[in-house]
Amino acid sequence: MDNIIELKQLTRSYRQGGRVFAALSNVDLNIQKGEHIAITGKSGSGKSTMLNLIAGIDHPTNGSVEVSGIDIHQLDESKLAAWRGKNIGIVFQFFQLIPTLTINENILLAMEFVGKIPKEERQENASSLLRLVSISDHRDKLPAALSGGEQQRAAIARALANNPDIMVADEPTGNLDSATAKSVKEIFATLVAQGKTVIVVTHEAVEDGRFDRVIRLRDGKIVSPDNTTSQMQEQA
Amino acid sequence: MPVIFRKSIRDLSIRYRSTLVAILALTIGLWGVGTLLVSILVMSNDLQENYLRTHPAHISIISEDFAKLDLAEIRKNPNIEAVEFRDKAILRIEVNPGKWLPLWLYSVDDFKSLSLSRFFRQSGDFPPPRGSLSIERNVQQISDLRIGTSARVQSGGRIIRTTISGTVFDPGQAPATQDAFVYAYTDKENYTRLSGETTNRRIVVRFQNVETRRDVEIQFTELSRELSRLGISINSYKIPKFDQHPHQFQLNTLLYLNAIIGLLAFVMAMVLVSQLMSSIFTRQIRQIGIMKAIGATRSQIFKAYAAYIIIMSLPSIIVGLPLAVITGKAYSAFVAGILNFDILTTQLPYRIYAAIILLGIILPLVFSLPALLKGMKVSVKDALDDYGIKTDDSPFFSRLFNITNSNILSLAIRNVGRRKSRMAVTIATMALGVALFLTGFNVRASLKEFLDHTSQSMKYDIKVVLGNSQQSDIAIAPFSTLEAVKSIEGWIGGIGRIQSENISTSSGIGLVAAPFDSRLKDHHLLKGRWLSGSAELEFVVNQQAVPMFKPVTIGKSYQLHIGDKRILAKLVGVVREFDIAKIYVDFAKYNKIANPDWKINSLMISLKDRSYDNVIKVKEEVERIIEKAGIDVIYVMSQAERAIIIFEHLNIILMTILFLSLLVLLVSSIGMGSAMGINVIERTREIGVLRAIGATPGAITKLFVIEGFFISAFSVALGLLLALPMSALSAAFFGELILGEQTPLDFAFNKSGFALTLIVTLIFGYLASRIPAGKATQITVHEAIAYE
Repeated sequence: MDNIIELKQLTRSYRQGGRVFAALSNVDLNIQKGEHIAITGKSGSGKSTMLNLIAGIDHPTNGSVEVSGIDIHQLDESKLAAWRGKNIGIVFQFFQLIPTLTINENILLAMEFVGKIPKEERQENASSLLRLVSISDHRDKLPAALSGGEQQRAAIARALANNPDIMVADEPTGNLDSATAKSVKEIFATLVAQGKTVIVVTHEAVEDGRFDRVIRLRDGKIVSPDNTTSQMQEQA
Repeated sequence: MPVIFRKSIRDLSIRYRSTLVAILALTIGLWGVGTLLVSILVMSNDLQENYLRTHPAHISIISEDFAKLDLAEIRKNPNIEAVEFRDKAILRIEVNPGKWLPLWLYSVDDFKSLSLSRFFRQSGDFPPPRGSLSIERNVQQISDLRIGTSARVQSGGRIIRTTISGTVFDPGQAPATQDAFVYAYTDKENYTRLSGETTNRRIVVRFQNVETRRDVEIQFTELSRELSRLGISINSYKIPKFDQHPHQFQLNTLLYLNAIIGLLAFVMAMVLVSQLMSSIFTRQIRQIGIMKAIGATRSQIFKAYAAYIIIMSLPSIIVGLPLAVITGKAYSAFVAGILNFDILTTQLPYRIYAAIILLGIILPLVFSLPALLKGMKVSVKDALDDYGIKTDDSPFFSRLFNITNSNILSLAIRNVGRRKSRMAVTIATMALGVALFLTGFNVRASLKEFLDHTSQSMKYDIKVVLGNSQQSDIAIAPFSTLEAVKSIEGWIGGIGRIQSENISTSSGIGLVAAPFDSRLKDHHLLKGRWLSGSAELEFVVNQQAVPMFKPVTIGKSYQLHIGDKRILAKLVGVVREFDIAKIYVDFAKYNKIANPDWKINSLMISLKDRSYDNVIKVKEEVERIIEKAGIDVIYVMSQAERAIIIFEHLNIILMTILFLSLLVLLVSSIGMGSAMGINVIERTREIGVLRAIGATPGAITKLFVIEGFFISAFSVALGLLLALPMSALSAAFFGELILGEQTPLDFAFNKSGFALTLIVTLIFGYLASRIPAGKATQITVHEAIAYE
């Protein structure tokens, strides 16, 4: 199968209190199209950093992230934003909906920025996404009027607004009760079934077989599966 | 409507309080700037327009031979645009019982067809019925003279009655209220009856195609040749400032002030706008991050927030523009009232509206750019991670922290230094306000000091200018019985012209011949020395006369034209005074040249008790003696009154400085309040944490108030430092404007002004921190910690 994402020697360091701290260190990783990936690890292991670098919302100190053959961090900020809008859907732990826009408008806004969906099709597309995540009744409400689970569904609908090939989600169920979390996970599974690549950062147990692959991180390095340079280095 | 614009509108309406404050700041800024633009446009145009519509004369010429002049002949001269007889006599008129003021009486050939130096009916009869006077409109403000009053006019020792029949507006003259002169216009017959002089001795002329004073001089030379051919010899002439109103300097000062202070106020208003935008973007950072995460490019975000700013600008334009027009016109009318000119502009040009609208849109955008660019530049990750202010370690504030045992005080001090650039902008803005306010007080002190020096340099208290030169003992005798008098000196001076211009040289410089060792003058010397008793003829000039010497060299001999004589005299010094260009020479030496009979025409009276009340009392006695003895007097002026007249000239400027300075300080305080407001927003979570660990609302308030106090204290200190050079520069500027080139006023530090500035700044600083602090305490712990 084709690699849709390739991380090469990816490193991200931060300066903290005069010391350099490596959140991610020389990571190599390939992700194939249509894979459902979980990235796990303890707090501070580098899993959110890796996701942010894949989504292009943070910049590597070294190494590269290639998505569909494009070294995304070589793009300037505006091109990167446009690329992200077209190719990546992002779901955050705290939903990050625009509080002054209705749910419907939040979805339309994402389409408006990217311009991939023709104007006349946007409302229909938004409506079908709202149906997909089962919150059509809440379309004209502001985010604050919705429960956490409903807001996360709205965030997923927004992430799908431009029909991206890749979905990344940072602790998407971390703030939800178990029943709601389950329904969100089912939506991701549906998306994978539709051929999308879904990468989820989670600190929950991932032994339910839902994921194609589980990438475990520790101290900024991949510790499993075995097919990574980092792992080999660690074993050595 | 695109969703992004809907977002902008909704953001503005949800945060309506912040929006209203921002709109208010924009409105105030636009209002202020618009007012200045409108008033500058109206005033700079209208004073000149007022003056020019009088069709001002380029020159006035006096000749005893004009009686044989046929004006129709002169009018044939293609270089002459207009010429008229306009005789002028300087008499005295009783304005209140026992109080006399100089009366400048003009005779007019035909009131219905004034071709030069026009004036306009204000009230009553026009033209004045034969035998009556039309007085300048402002005279009524300083006198009991009203339409129908039978006024007493003193001329050559006689007192004659004449009726006031109306008032006129003469835009070419300084108002009576400022110069304490009465201007009046009458027919030729009445002129002769009142003045005792024949008419047709003075003409006023306006030349064709002249653009400078030099052109006027050239044309005058031509005309004098022509007059000479007609057998007419010229006694004297006067060329006023070329096509310039007598109070142009005051207006120029006001316009300069408007421009300078307006610019500062404007910059501060824009800093305020910038701070407010920064506050708004601080709240929006996270949303910018979200929008970037879902695909918004920088340009899309820029457009969205530009729309946001423009939407906010619109109400400020809708409110600020008409306000600016109204207040700009009102301010112009206020100044016009003081400077005695009418507002002629009825409709403002469209370009001024366009300029204000453009300013209202573009400037908030420009001044919001730093905050906007900062918001756009922030990475998605940083934007999403933004939970408030980070500590920026500052050794200076850490050291301050270490010197106190109070935790709240320590935290407050540290907080001052957490956002260095914002603190710097806040302190700089506030300091500028403090500096300007203090400069206003200092310049006022400099001007007052200058006026005091001016009064002190004239050691006499009352000056009596006689209508005719007389032997000294004869002139002094009627006043020698006055017990209050300490001494009386006789000086020589000419007849006519203005109060301090005793004798006119042919070049138009006033010449005063006073004893070199007179104790009644103690001038402030700018260069060289005062007159001495040396055998050589020496002279001293005041600073206004300096430009005529090009360059002025102490010790050099110059040729002086005194009357019809040309003599060499050595310039020995330059003095500073608030007066027209003047030359001082020794009385004895002058007499040898031009006054062989040693006559005098000015009595300089000094009193034992120099208090204002006593001077006025003695002046009334002097007036009674003059009336009783029928002495021909041009005017009686006390130094105390003169100081008041000078102060009146400057007071409007002083008050404008202080008023505008206070506004600037107020605007900068709003800026500080805004900065503190941003601090509160940024520290919402932190406040929550402090509240959660037990900080009372009082402690939170204290935290911000102490922070505000430190900012105010730093601002006052910096403002004080800034005020020193600003005051010195302003003193130099006003000195040059009022006194002429290279004559700065002395720097003066106004201690009470400083105390007031300190108090006002601390009060403003307190309010600017107390109000946001109050808001901070209203946030619940839950809200604060959950704040995004």
